[in-house]
Amino acid sequence: MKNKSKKSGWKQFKRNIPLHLMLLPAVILVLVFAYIPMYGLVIAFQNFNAAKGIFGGQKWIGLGNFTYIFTLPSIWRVFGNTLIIAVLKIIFGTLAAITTALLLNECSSKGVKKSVQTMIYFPHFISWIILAGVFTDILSPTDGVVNSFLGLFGVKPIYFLGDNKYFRGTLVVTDIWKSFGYNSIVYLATITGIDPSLYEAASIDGAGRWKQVWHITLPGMSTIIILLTILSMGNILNAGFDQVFNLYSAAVYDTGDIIDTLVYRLGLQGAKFGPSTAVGLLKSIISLVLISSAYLIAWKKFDYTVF
Amino acid sequence: MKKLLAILLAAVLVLSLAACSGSGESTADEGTKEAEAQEAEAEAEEGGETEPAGGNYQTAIDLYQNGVKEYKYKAGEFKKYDEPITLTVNNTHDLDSDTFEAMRAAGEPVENGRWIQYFRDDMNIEWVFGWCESNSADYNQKLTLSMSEGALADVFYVSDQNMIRQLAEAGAILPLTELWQDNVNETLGRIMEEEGTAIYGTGIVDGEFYALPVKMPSTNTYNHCWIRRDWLEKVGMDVPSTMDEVKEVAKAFKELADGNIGLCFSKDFMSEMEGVFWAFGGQQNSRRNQWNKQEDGTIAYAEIQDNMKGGFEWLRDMYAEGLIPQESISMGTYDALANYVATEKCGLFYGPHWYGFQLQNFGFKTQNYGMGSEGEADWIEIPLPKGTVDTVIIPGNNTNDGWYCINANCEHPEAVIQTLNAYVEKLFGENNDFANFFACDLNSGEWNASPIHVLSATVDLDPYWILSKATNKETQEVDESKLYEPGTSYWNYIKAGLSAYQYMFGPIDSCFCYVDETYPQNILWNEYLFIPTQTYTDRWGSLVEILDNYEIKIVTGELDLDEGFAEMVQKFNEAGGAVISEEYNEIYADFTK
Repeated sequence: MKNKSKKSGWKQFKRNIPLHLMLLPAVILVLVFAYIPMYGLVIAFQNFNAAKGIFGGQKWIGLGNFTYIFTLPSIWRVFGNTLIIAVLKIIFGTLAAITTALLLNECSSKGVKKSVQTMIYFPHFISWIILAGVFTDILSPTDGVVNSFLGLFGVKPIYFLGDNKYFRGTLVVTDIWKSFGYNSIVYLATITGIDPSLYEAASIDGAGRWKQVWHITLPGMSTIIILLTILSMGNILNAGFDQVFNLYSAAVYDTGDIIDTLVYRLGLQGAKFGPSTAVGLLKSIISLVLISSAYLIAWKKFDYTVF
Repeated sequence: MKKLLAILLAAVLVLSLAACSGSGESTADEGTKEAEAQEAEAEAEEGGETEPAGGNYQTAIDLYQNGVKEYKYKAGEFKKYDEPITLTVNNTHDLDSDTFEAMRAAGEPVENGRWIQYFRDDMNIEWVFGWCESNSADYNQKLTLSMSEGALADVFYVSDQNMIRQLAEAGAILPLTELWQDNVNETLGRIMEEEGTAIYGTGIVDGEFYALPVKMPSTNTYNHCWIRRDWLEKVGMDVPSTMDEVKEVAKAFKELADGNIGLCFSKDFMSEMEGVFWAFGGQQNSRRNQWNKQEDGTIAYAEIQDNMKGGFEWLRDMYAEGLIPQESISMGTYDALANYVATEKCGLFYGPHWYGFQLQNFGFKTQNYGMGSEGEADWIEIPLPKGTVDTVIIPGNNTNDGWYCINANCEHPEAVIQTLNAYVEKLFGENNDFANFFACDLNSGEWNASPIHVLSATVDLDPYWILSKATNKETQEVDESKLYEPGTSYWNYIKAGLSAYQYMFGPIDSCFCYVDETYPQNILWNEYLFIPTQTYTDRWGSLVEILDNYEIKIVTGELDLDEGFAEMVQKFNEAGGAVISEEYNEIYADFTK
């Protein structure tokens, strides 16, 4: 029995050699750009002096860089901000994408549906560098559109990008605006895959649009909703460097400074390669644990596997 | 099968990470041994020619305290090689800039410009540009990469003192104490030591002079107050001389038109508008590295002293009264200038003298000497208004814009210093050719097209003095017969419409009118000019962030001035500021005893 499966495996491999060869460039790229650079992780344990070179006689300091990180005055604030911003983005981002998918699904006019889809899909492709300029103008307390509008109702100008009370909310809302169209695609595809006969049966039984959504569409989407939410756990320490870096300032460090921006300031501006590699490694380990746990849950509870 | 593959993949991922950290630990001892062996080998091979960090401490102190005692090359002298030699350089040039492109199109590419030709013809040195990068952050990244690859040019620019330490400790750069004293000529020595020999301290690591300061005029540390004279006339007010008057002017300017603001402000206010703090006795400089001598003889960091509070209070009131726009607290300086000054929404700002170039770039023309047209913006620079002090004290560094380090593998290290000898002779020597080498029609900064440079402390004051003496201040008439270089060149720039030269160095209403009144008698020199300690390197970034965070909250009124300031100082000291202060005081005492 064993021999047979071994043989069939080898046969299958031989039969698929052309496919494996096609895969080879990608494997090489991953090795060269993802696995080999992992050697650089040794910097996390060194008092790294760039002038000695990565293979030079660097001084080993054990966990010194990790100790250094945890004695930084801002480290806990930064971890807290990262978690809060990432979780808010995951929760509200998912809700926005699901709602959009449901609304698009209910839209009867194909033309309107396609137009809306294209419009909400578009911001995904604009870089945060450009968007930061746009949002800075739109949200300006002096002559921004948003504050001008609020002013009509007697609301005093709010500095969304410079006030700690509003900064996180601004990050979440602008991030959702940029990505909800793109994120809704998977949900829309799931809805399309739901058996239409279920709707017909419900309709015959007298269920209205809302009841159909509640009892057929949402349960039909539940697996993918839970699955995507769990898989997003791997991103729990990624609160969006591009966005935060381009929108934040010292005035909102309390609520907006995240791990990645701290690493940037440490590593690239401060040339502290040891501590910044240590932060990166720590982040990778936490993400690996979270994504592995999430994968395990997805596998056991929802029978979802990658392979 | 699928599950098995999934488990295997996960295992590989986990193991590879574990292996990384595991191999790190297991090879740690091997790495150290290897490093020690390499270092011992290098030392044996070099035979003391390339000393690692830790040279003759007393020699370095002597250089710091007394400068060069005997010159082997007199003024006007520099070495000419019998055979051609080549030197390579990494620096912060933008080789593709519009200016260099224009020069290229005119038949004088920077790679073979007048400076390169001069060094070739008069010294037999062929200078070759290696990689160059004008953006300082990008430059530092490239430099770090080149450092780790061992691919540095013969001489390279360094802007971060911590890098000098790293390079010295790795034996990647040459010690210069002797090399400098053996090769520097009198003109170069005079320029380097023009504002005191303490400048050598900036390049000393563990008792050895490792990095040549790129000497620049210390007048660069001035901050200036710029105002629109035409708006003053419109609102019927005089040039403000006190900070209360500045506030009144700001109010009047804001009310001139819808959308106007009172004062141009940015998140970089601590390094771009220190004049506000100086008006109330604050003594911080633009680089935020000012350490001042206290009554007990120790030195203390300027930004956390109580005399800074007056400036904060003034800014806080300006913000509260709506004279500083809210969004400017997160804007960079150049964005703020472009948003408010260029669009003529603002008639008042603080900044260093080279903001004159910004005004010129925004299209503003000088209205003096009958130039410009009626109704156009008329920017002038005014003496710094006073708050609570009788005399505005200007905290300043014995300025250098970074350092030049010489690669340990450079075959002709002395040629670098010799090139600087030749450079200063061309600009400041008895037989100089300032008119052609400081600036030219297509490049107003031709002096900076040389592979390496240093400038005299009075390079900006000299033309001002010459122009000033030739000008009738009442009639604004300039008697050209009384002009000579470099005044002639500067006057020609002004006549040619380069308004920046009037804003900065002109004989009336310019930045250097104020500099002339106050330099050097009103300067408070920075007392700490040495390489930062390890604690500084580890902690300073976080400490500045603490300051930034508190300071902006004080300005916006989120924190009470006294309580917030006290809390800021406490946090600063707890997070490492107190340790740095102790270390700096020890070093300072060592070098000044």
